[in-house]
Amino acid sequence: MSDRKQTLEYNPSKLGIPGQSYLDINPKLLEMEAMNTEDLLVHMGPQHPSTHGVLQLQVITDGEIVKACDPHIGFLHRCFEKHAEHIDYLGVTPFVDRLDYICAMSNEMVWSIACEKLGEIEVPERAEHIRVVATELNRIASHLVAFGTFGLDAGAFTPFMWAMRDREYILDLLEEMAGVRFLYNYIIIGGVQREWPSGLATKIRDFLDYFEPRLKELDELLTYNPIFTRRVAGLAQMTPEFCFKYGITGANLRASGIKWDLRKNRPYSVYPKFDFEIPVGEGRIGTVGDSWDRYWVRLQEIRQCIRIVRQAVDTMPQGDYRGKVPKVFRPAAGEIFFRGEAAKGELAFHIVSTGGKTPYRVKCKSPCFVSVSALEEMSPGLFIADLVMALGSLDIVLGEIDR
Amino acid sequence: MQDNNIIMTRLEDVVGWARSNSIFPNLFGLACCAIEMMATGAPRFDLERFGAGAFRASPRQSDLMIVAGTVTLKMAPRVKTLYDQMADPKWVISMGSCANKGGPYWQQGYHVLKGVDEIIPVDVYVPGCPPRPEALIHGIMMLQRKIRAQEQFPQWRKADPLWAKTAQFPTHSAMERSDD
Amino acid sequence: MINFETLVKNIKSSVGASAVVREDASKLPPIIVVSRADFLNVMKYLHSKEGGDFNVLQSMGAVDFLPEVKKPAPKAVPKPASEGEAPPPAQPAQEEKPVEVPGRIECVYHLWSYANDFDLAVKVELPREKPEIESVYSLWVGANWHEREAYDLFGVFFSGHPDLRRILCPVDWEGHALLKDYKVQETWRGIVVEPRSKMNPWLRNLQ
Repeated sequence: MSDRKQTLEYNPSKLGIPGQSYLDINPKLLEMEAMNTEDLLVHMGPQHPSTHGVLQLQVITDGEIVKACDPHIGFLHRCFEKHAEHIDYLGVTPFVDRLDYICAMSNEMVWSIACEKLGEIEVPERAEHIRVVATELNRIASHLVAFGTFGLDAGAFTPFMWAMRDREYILDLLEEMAGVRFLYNYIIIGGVQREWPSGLATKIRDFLDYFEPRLKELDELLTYNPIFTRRVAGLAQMTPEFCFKYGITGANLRASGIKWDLRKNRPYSVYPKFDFEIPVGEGRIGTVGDSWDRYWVRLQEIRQCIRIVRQAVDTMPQGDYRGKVPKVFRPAAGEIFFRGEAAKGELAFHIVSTGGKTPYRVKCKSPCFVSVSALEEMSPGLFIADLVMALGSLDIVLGEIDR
Repeated sequence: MQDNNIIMTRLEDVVGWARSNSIFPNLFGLACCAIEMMATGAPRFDLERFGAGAFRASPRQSDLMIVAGTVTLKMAPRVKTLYDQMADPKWVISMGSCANKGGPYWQQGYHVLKGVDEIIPVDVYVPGCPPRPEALIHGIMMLQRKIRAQEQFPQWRKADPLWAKTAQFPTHSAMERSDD
Repeated sequence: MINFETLVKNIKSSVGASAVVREDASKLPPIIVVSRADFLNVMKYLHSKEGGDFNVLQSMGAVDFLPEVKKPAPKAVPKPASEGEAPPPAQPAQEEKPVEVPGRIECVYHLWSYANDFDLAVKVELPREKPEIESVYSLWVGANWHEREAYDLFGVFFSGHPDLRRILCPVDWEGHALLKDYKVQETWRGIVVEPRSKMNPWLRNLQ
């Protein structure tokens, strides 16, 4: 947008437009619409089947081609940071679950490790193995949902059904481990909540043996399907400089050709023990960093997750499932900013503690927040249907964006 | 009866049976409960076998609104608009503890609407965080029983001046029915 | 690779000796507290190649500290003299007044240099009554939404920001929600925000 130099005065009463209807519209979009009378201002409103949650895209379009796009968030702002100031460290775990609700274990893992580093707590190795198994299984489930909903955006209904069916098996395994289907409250400070049930290792191996040929089937459905590739290849390319400008990380960054994964580059927990690769976008169809690459990198990551789970289950040591944690967890005064590799990118928590029972301030940096902020620059010139596909390729979940 | 294929029943019963077995839910997933709603429509807990599997994107074509997830204050006017856009007869299932009463965010949630029944009338509440798909199916079956027990043609009763006015479902004072 | 001490020395030599108020290398990641006046110059220096090439702004948040009164440390009790030792010299009476620490809002910027693989946290302290700071949108475009969120939840005004408006709360929301003395408004467009009928009945009478 050309007129970015304009700034607003520091006068709170002038900000916002009093007397307007509840549809709060960016004044610049109104200007654009007034200047070109053929253009429409369309709200791809908060309730929309393909916005992956309650995201509002205010789009200036001439009916087919998008000229400007302004994402509005905040429809799921559940005040997580305010709750974290009033609830003690252990009790924040269910709230952290509900940030990225599709891959809850990875959120809990990052929160628990951040609190452990702040409070200097040792975690036994068996607990770390259990945590890694839970996180990687959940990462497979999250990528399956991403795969299914991406196909759904393109109009393909079958991959969604197959992905949900396979996801149900993973949820069964996690239910045996944690007791709940999703939103587990299982990975807590010091370890995990319950002991690993006997017989689960066999079930996990059986599931992985069943699932690997299924992954080939899912691949055949969509990946090289000419209808799908014509829609998706070459769409919304993100160069590495673009990603760094916005702070985009995770599979989106890896699809642009940068080999950066926190599990390898900044290892935490017991990831150094396992042998796995980092898939990087190569631009097999289309260009490097387009939507097809982002989708393809996620599929390859599922394969690497399967490898990690096999190794973790096979080499699980004996021991405790939770380390020694004081009854009331009071870390020393200080702060920490810890980044971990969640399913959607790099999730980070900035925890400020003043030595009390509850954190003083928790700031959650969510990977999808920065991805959606980049949508504004990616969108001009796309068709509306392409905008939907570009949004789907970023793999967002609104609970994390709005916190 | 097998030879003649004629049954004697009331029109109310037939219409109630038809309406309860062909519910069109609105795609209205907001948060985590939406994933459980998707899982209920997915192969294992198939919602299609209840006739309720055809999720419609537009509220004008649907008659059930499953409010799945936290309703925030910013979203609340849109929820009311969507509810108003649905055509009668319409029903609402409040799914999950966030839609029932504000859920885990009831204490410090300054931006969370404490229960969707502040703004729209709810027929069935399904508790849980998130409720299992079996619980949602239980809620839908309860709604089916309620639909069959309801009065199916209130407009005929209202057109008749001799009948007493009765409410079809409990209403809050904040919500007016437009046709009374 | 970057050495934290050399980085601090370089900042002080290129921007000014008073630019870095405090530094703390023991935290994860290491923290630099920068003075308000030199903030933009320090950020420009860090963004440049010789300053460390911090090309990614990972996150930007704010922390609110209310004004507080620090009580004086209790006076040390003199040890009782044991036999055979000379009594300790009498210490002059010291009056210690309670210290008033003014409230502040700290803006924390977490930077990451991909080329040098180094994390850094940069903090600025702003007065609580009128928190204003320059926007780093010209250096890192991703700061756009982070700064809008800090404005929405803390009231920090970013000069030079192209489009400063509320992002999470609605446009006509009153107040800034994450301040420590925030009281939520009673109603919003006719909807009661905290209905007493929905509260836990055991806690209702305590509110």
